[in-house]
Amino acid sequence: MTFKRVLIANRGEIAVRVARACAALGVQSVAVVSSADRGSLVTQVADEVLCIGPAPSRDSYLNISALVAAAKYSGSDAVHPGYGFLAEEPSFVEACTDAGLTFIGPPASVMRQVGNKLAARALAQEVGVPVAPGSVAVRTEAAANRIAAEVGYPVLIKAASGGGGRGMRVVHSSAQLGPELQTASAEALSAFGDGTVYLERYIENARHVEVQLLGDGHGHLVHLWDRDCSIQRRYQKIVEEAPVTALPDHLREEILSSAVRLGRAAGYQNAGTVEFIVDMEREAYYFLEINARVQVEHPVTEAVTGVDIVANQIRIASGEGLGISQDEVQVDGHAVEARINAERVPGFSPSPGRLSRWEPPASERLRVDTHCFPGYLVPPYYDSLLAKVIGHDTDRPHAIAALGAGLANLVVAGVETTLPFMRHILGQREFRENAFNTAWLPHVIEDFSEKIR
Amino acid sequence: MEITSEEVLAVLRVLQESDVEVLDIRLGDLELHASKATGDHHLNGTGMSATRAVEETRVAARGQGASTPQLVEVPENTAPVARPAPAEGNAELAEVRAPILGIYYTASGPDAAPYVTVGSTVQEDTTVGLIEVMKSFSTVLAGVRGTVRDILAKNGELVEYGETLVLIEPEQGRQ
Repeated sequence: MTFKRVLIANRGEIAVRVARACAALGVQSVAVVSSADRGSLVTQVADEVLCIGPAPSRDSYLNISALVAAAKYSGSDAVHPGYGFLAEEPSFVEACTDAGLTFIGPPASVMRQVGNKLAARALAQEVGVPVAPGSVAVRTEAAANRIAAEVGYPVLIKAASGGGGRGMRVVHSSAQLGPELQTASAEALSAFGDGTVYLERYIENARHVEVQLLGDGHGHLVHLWDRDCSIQRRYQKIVEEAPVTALPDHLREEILSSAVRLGRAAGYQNAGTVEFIVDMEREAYYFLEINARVQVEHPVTEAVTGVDIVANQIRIASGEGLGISQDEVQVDGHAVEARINAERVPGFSPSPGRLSRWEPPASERLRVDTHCFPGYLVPPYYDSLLAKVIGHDTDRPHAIAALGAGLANLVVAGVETTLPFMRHILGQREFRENAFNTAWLPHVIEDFSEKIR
Repeated sequence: MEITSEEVLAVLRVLQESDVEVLDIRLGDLELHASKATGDHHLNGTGMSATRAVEETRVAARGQGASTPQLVEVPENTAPVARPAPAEGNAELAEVRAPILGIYYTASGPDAAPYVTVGSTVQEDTTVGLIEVMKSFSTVLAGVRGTVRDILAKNGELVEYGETLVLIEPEQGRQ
């Protein structure tokens, strides 16, 4: 390992995850915290801790100059961005590189290409990866009307610079199209600094399938199989699993090979994920986007493949290359992850506060990724994720049972969480029978709110 | 940005359960100021805010009370990494804290005299040091009128955001 110290430019569970990966590799870690996170768990795990700014993210976790200064002055060689915050910000990659630091992720040029949805879509088309029927950038209402008539309603308006489900609108009729187009473009401009939007066919009976990639940037690129993340609320994933079991094998094979082809074409380096939407009626799949970072749901893939994605990110960035061949990546059993957030269901409003009790479950069939501890004060400033509970067993029913037992044994008090709702999801017949799509969860939320009323 | 009364209550609950006296939240155009307003003289009128360039507050000297000096503008967790000021005596000292992370300089150059030394008299706008962040320098002001009692930050060393740099005994009758 050529790195001596890695600075972790993130917080919460992923900062803890990265610090532990560093320790396992014999690399020192430097945690940076905002003043709201001075007592967070990563400060106990990392070798050095630096407070980089006040609570608001823009002054701390999004403050590029403070992060680069902290990395330089602490003698770090590399920066791990985690997910969210600056993980997919090309200017952060450049700031690190300019300061002589190695960014643990793809180069800025690759990130720019895959970060723009229209550019990524064009690249997918070049290498024969299907994209949803739709368009290039839409500039006029007349053009939008023409395209929408071609692909058929409902259509989805998407922001070219959006991602992670942000900047999307469903339009059901041509009467709505004009006004929605204007609103979407204005929103995209204010949220992403780019008002460019495009249209895609909206798929009503859909599964969200994604492929984990690891590449060394020198032509060696493997996939770590697929994940199903169809249980979503407003495009935010709630339950994720690996591998995909709802699709016929031939379709999975095509999706995997498309992802690898696209990753190679992009010259992809480090860990990334290629997302697809699968039209269950037509048995067709379409490229959605490439996420140039480690993802929240990476543990389900680690559970079934035994490959440590974060450790590999660090090794690849250090120039050690990717010491895994495709044949060595085998799937063992099934894994299901539930995200536990400090939120009140059904509104999913944040519920910060002090954890008077926090007793995570433990078993050989479980993994819990968390930054929580008894007495931890969940700050109101950031993402509400408290923990990810992952059940892993021989097959899907057993993995669900393992997760169910884990959720039954998780004790949390002091803040409201999504734990009761996660237990409710696991008890649903459609979930157990793997008979759901991306539009299913809102019904479950309605059902659950009736129950608790 | 809008806030519901439920969310305000949640904030108040956090405040109530914490050791923090005053909380200022700014999210976009939303500003929320919450205070326990117990009349605790330690924090009286210090107007803590996350966005102040130079933060200072009056704290009870260590050893005087059981509680650790509080300056965080946010709920503090159980394992603080801040290096609290090792103040002596019973006087209330103002802490000048680092507004940003960077390298601290006690003088304008290697051969220059230090901006202040122990015993120096300072005004609110007296420069006590510089912080360098990647070749860009920020001035650290005393923020209070009084006498320098201790200089905790070392010349040329890394300081964290919020780290105590200088302790100042405020001029009597002014605070």
